[in-house]
Amino acid sequence: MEAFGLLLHGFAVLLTWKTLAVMMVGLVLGIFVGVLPGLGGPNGVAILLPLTFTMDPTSAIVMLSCIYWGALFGGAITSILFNIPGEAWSVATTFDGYPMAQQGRAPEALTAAFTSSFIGSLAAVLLITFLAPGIAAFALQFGPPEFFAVYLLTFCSFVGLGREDKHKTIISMTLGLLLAGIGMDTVSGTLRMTFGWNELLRGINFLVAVIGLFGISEILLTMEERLALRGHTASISLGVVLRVWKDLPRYWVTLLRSSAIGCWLGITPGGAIAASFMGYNLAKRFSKDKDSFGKGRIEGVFAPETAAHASGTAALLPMLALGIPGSGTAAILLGGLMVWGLNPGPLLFVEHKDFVWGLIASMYLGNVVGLVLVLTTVPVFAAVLRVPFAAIAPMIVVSCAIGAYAIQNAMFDIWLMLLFGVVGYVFKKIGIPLAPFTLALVLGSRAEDAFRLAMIGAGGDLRVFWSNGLVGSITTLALILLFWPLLGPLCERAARLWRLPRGSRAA
Amino acid sequence: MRTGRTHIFLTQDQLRRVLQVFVPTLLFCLLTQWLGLYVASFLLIVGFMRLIGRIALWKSLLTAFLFAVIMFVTFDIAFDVIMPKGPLEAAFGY
Repeated sequence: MEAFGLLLHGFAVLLTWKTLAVMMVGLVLGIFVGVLPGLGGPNGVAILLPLTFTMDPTSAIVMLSCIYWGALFGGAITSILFNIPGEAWSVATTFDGYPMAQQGRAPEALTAAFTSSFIGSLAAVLLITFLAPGIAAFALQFGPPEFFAVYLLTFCSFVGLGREDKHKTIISMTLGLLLAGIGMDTVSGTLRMTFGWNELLRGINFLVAVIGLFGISEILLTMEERLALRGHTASISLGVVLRVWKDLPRYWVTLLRSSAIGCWLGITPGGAIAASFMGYNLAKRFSKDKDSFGKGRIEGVFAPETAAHASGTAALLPMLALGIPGSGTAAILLGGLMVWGLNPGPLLFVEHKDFVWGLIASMYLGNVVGLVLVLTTVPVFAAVLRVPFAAIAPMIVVSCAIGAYAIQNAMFDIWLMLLFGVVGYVFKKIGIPLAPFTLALVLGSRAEDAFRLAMIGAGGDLRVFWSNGLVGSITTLALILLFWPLLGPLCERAARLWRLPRGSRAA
Repeated sequence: MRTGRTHIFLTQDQLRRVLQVFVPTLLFCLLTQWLGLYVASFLLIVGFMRLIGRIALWKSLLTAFLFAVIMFVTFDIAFDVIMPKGPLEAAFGY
């Protein structure tokens, strides 16, 4: 129960008027960016990051994580009222959420979405509270080979488990790794791929790339598709909230199943999107009345929302304990930690106890406050979507530019952001996923450092990655996952061949 | 440019709409270098709302002015995040 005591200490750090005010501001801003088309979780956090540069790390991370919660809640509003998923993982919420809104049951659907998000993230936060310190303590014994093996596992699981085309994932990841190599080499101190250009000395900043890749490209895409925003209005009364909550215990199996799926897939990198679909599909499969799904069934909102938020939150577990983000937004939070000079990973739990437990406590508080806030202010935020796009688009462009410039005070970064905007737009058009690209960009140099330190330590012998049971099994697992798209069908064929002669003999 | 046998990467109509937002953004980045970010953002918002959104001129001017001022107060004054500035801010002593 050491974790419990530390958690209480975390709450004590948090419960000051200043921190609570920061929390409210973060939540409101977060819901705002979650509702606006063209912004969303990862974007919102990236653009608002500069606001936190002058704060102390604890207030800053509280603000950032609350922006994240807010954006998650906000995404549900657009999915249900406007049939526009704010993020890839709210796609499954539109299946039943939007039909409910069409039937005039929008308040019910919204309450269900917010409540299940709350339950999902609570389950994941509980998991983080009790599991993260243990994992961090275990990881303290890791040397460079172990760390490289874990990074390799992260990269490979994107290829093996992602839903996108395998070759496109690999293209995207390789480009990210290549760009991560630009600038000063941290091991030998020599310059790489700068082509004599001073601006490239610093390397390509991960956050600048994210703002361009997600923010600017989304504006280009929204403009191209000429989104006509036609949504339903909704305001939530206390009666509706209580009615939905009274029915809640009836769906406990769905909620529990979705939370478990979400937690599991959230820790696995690249799993957040899969979680919401899997939650939805399993709820459908186990339901007695399958045909009513997709026509406005409240269970169809509960299942994907719980899973999506559980996975979105659980993605922070590997980020905190190992320094490996499980999702795009977790990667940006990691980028934020590095801006403040904090090095995410197992040492964080030892060296910055206050900070870590403050963050975990803020997850609990932010979640509760966010639920109340979002239930009471839905009409206000739904009205934001009625503002013409021609007014919102330039404001988003300006916010992106401010975000990109503020990170390193460099005009060059604004141009870089524009370039990445075009790259992101083309990638989205031809179906290359952006998440592996951002992950490679943020983890590339760390993975490279770990690899080279391991090589130096072992005198260039690759067998160091199989030198003990732990590192050996992680490396092997990583390689299996990387080649899984090839191995899977092969195993199937082998099994069939093996079964065939036996079957024929029996006949 | 084609990605599949029948899939068209971008129709002319779509290209026109994408350029409608890309060109102003490019001009905004250029202007930021000479006029500073706040003046450039004022011009971007007024121009975009008026010319592409066809929103009334006074509404565009008011929105752009308020947005630029709010951004200036939030970033440069309240949070000490310094943005590129040009002749106008210099005239006011910033």
